[in-house]
Amino acid sequence: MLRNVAIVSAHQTKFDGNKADERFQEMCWPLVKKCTEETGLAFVPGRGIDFAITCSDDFFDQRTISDGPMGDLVGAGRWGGEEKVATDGAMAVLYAAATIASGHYDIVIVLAHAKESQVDSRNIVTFHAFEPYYSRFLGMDYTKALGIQADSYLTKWGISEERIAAIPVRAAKNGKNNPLALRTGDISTADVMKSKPISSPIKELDLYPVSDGAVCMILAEETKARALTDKPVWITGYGNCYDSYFLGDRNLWESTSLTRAARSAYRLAGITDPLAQLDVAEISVQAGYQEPFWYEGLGWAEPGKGIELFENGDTDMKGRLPVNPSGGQLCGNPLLLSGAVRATECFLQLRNEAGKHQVKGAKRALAHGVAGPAGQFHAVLILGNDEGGKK
Amino acid sequence: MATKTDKEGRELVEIRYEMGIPGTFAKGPIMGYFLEKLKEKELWGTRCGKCNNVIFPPRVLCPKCMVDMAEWVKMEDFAHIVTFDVVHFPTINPLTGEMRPVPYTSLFMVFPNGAGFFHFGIEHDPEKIKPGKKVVPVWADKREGRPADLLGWVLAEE
Repeated sequence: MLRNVAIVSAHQTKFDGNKADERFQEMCWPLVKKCTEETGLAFVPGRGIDFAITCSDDFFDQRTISDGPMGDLVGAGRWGGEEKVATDGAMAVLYAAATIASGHYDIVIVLAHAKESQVDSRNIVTFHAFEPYYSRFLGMDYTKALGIQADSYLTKWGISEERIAAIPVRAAKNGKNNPLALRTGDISTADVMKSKPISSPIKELDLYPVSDGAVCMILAEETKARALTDKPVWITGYGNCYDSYFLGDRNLWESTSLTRAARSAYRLAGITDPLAQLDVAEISVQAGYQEPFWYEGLGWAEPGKGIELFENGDTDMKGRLPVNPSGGQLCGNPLLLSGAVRATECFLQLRNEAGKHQVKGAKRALAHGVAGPAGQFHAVLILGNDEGGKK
Repeated sequence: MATKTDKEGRELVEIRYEMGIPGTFAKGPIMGYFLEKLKEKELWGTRCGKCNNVIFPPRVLCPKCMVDMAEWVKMEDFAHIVTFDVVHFPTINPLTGEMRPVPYTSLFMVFPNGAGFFHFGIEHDPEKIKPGKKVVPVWADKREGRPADLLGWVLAEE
């Protein structure tokens, strides 16, 4: 990287099934206030916040230019710039880091919001991600795509649904320690197995619930980051990769795009043995099968063996590499927002501020975001505190 | 319906598609208060405690000062025209899904306390609408705390 970049402040809302009492601005404004009050920064390009990256989706917001309501909050009219990322929030963080690393800006605010509850059905929105001539006629949407991929993955490696049902169980258990999580508690694999079938083999408790929330963070170049906080969290590596839009073009039981995104992030951060070098990871798991699947894509397990890493406890809170101490997306983070939430969780972990779900002494973390149907697009961030080796 | 063809007489195949993403917008406490007050034929804005500007309709924060709005302000029941536009192309009213009758008038107005805003004008004759003229609100008979409770603005009798 050209210049060192750190996250200096990050805040997230509580995630709720329906924030019926808040409009977008009301949901996001308290976070912007927290970040600006904490850093003492104002929106003054050159002398304060230079630039803004927002993250949201037009169809979920039911308005073209879904960043419109964010303008007041991120300094519209103050002659800085703003760009919108309409994919996973990890990309918004990555984009902000790139604008700083490249020397274009010194301080950038990231503001991501999503209210999945606002539309009558999340599936109606993701249905519109598909081309109109063929796939839409077939009723394709992201939930259905997850089901197809889950079937493909489980069949290929001979993994039973019961084994996958243990994943939402651990997520709900970890989530109990995260006061911002929506769906948590003590559930059993039997509860998961008998929950409502959604898109075979995915069941209700196996799929991320509809939720509303927002994330705000401020990133800065090294000199300014040092002045703004005692505990900067460095972004030491990042990568992203996307696969074909057309589901039929992909081998759904392998995730080449995640492997490539991870490889890029590892290379920048100097990571050669991720299981040994990472202390904590927050990965975006929209449905249970993705947890072992992403382990494989991230290079932590051989293809088809990710489930063993999960089952032998390596990724438990007390394991070699605790994964999703927050409970993760299965506890309720909206589509597009998960990667930004994962990065925020890593930020908290590396500052020793994660409360009851803190991984003791975490120095280096991985945050992952996914977008598109059946894991089409992946973004990976490597973060570290002062002990975690800034590049 | 006649088949569409290209210059060489080949059939042009098209897919007619109507998109709908039904949903519900939260009012939130600020817009909720504004809408609720429409029932009583009252217009309310918010004042910034730092720059003292009044913003109408109300906002969550002052976009200039980036601070919470300090207080609610009841607006006067008249305003003055700043500029206007008489629109002749039909558009869909997104709240009803029906075509809006044309022509209709967009008025840009200012309240005596300096808050600028826009709304419908009831008058469509551009000769009669002039910047500086006084306008008063026209209310729906039945008001339900919805944007359509305020039908528009009409030239005040001098």
